[in-house]
Amino acid sequence: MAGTAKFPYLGIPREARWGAVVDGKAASQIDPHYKTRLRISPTDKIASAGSCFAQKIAELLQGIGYNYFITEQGPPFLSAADKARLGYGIYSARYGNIYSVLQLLQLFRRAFGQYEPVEPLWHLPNGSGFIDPFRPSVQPGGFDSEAECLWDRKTHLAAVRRLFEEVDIFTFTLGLTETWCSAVDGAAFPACPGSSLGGEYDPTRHVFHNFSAAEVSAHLDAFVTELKAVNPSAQIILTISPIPLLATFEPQHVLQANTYSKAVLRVACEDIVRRYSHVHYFASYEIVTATGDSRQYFLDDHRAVSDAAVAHVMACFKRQFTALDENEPAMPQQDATPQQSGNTLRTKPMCDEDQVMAALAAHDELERKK
Amino acid sequence: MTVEILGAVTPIHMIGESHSLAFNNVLFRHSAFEAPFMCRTRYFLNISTSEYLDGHTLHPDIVSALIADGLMDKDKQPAHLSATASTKDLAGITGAAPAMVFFAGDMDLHVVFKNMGSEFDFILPDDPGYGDDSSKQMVPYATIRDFIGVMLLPFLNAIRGLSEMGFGRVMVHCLPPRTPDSAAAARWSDGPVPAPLRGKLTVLANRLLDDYCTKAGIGFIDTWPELTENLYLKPEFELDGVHLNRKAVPITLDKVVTLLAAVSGNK
Repeated sequence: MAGTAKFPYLGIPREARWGAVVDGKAASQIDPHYKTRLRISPTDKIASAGSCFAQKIAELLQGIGYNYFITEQGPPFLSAADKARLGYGIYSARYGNIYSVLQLLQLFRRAFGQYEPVEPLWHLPNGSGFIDPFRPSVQPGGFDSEAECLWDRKTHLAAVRRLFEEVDIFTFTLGLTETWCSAVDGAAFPACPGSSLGGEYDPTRHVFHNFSAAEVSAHLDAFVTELKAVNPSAQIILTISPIPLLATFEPQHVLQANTYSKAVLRVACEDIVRRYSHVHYFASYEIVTATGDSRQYFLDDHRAVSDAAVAHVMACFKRQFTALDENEPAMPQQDATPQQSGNTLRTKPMCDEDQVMAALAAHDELERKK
Repeated sequence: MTVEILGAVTPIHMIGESHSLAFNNVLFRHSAFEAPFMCRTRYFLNISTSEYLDGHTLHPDIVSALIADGLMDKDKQPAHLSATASTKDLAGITGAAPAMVFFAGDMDLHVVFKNMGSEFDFILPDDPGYGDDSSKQMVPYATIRDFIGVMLLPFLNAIRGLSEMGFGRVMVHCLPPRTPDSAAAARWSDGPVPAPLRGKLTVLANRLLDDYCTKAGIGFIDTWPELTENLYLKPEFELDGVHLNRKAVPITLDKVVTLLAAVSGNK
């Protein structure tokens, strides 16, 4: 008996036991989190950034009545719909989707005047409009002139700087490891140049890179360290988008590439969370991919996330980080109904990848007709 | 007691926001015409550009005014086209479409002034010289252009509708030049708005009005060349920080009558 009493697993919490918290549970009843080290108060300034799925996190934060911190509000005469169309209020500043950690780190450094990419402004495929290569989708049709684009970038970076200086809790959704960078200075782009979003692909200036876990970890570490230097009390929540890769540039099947990408991001997150007590992990990826079956939380394309999945993520976020619904189950089971195509996320997120792939599909169609 | 009939005047209907008021009951003669003209103002205090049309229906207050002034019949058709010969004779209605000059958009533009305030600015393409202030937040030109375009559209569509139904001598008046005195203008926008920004927004709105009118074959009355000096309103025409005084009236009337002489409105 004495030997049994010393058996280490006897002391592990309920959440650490598969049989207690996963086995036999409906997907909607599973909340893959342990004790929280962070409580968000309604007055805390919460900011967010990341890949397409991060827009759902932003909607959640704005929807629960907490203090979603927006430093780039846009012209006050615009309607909410017009602001959203122009990328205002989608995130805390008008940076559009940030797919890689390197892109986030470089944005931070640009905001504080520590880095200035050499990539010139892009144009739309028809040669019109001026496009900011680091947020190509925020101004549909492009800016009217180079001066206008650069002026807007200056205002934008000032807003980003203020965001990082004043934020209490910064939430970042990691999306991709596959990235297109400048061969000249390593600047990371959110989209490959030459798509419908603009830019002209030049193999001497633009290179593909698929980050390793060590690289993502290093980028995250640098971001965490540099944010702490300008805002010592800021807390960070990391989460990983459950939305799979739309396409891979690696010479391998997209499913393998997706598994690699998500695994790398997950490893890097774990590495940083273990290293810094003010960095927290929220398990969006696990909630959507590992608690339910794919028919319930993904639509027919096995990629778009269903409303039920988003609702589950939101319920878990509230339980984990806010005082709301603390004692309630992860989510009422009846809400977790399967979703079919056409009934996707409540509002379709602004997604650079989608636009790139739409252009690809159009190209394929043209090729077929030849 | 004797009554001496002096003859009849040709009415010019000034319709819309407060810039139409200075013309009320102005009797004048133009060198191109023998008969005198008289302005009749219909001032609508609170009709914004977006309210000119509700779907395809003209604002009921404007319809009522046009009927009351004998310009529309009870079926809301142009009276100069539908009236019987005896009615035309009695009411002095000629076969020509009545001259109608609409004033709209300035009240709405002042809401934009207020919203832009001293925080925002934009780059006006082909800026005649206002410049811009890079210390402000930048609003992309396409964004502000589209916003003002959408703002003006119901008004412009209403005017085009009137033109297409037979009011062939309908015209749109430009928005007036701005005073460089931002303190004097501040009361109209609930706070100071930099003069260059007020100037640029007004130039932009006028370009949109002019462009639409040109494409739709509607007369556009542009008095800026005569009223401005160094991009702003000449002091001798300023009334109260936003309106023009009566010295500016002949400038508009000369352009209106010149256009009347050129336009065949007898549809």
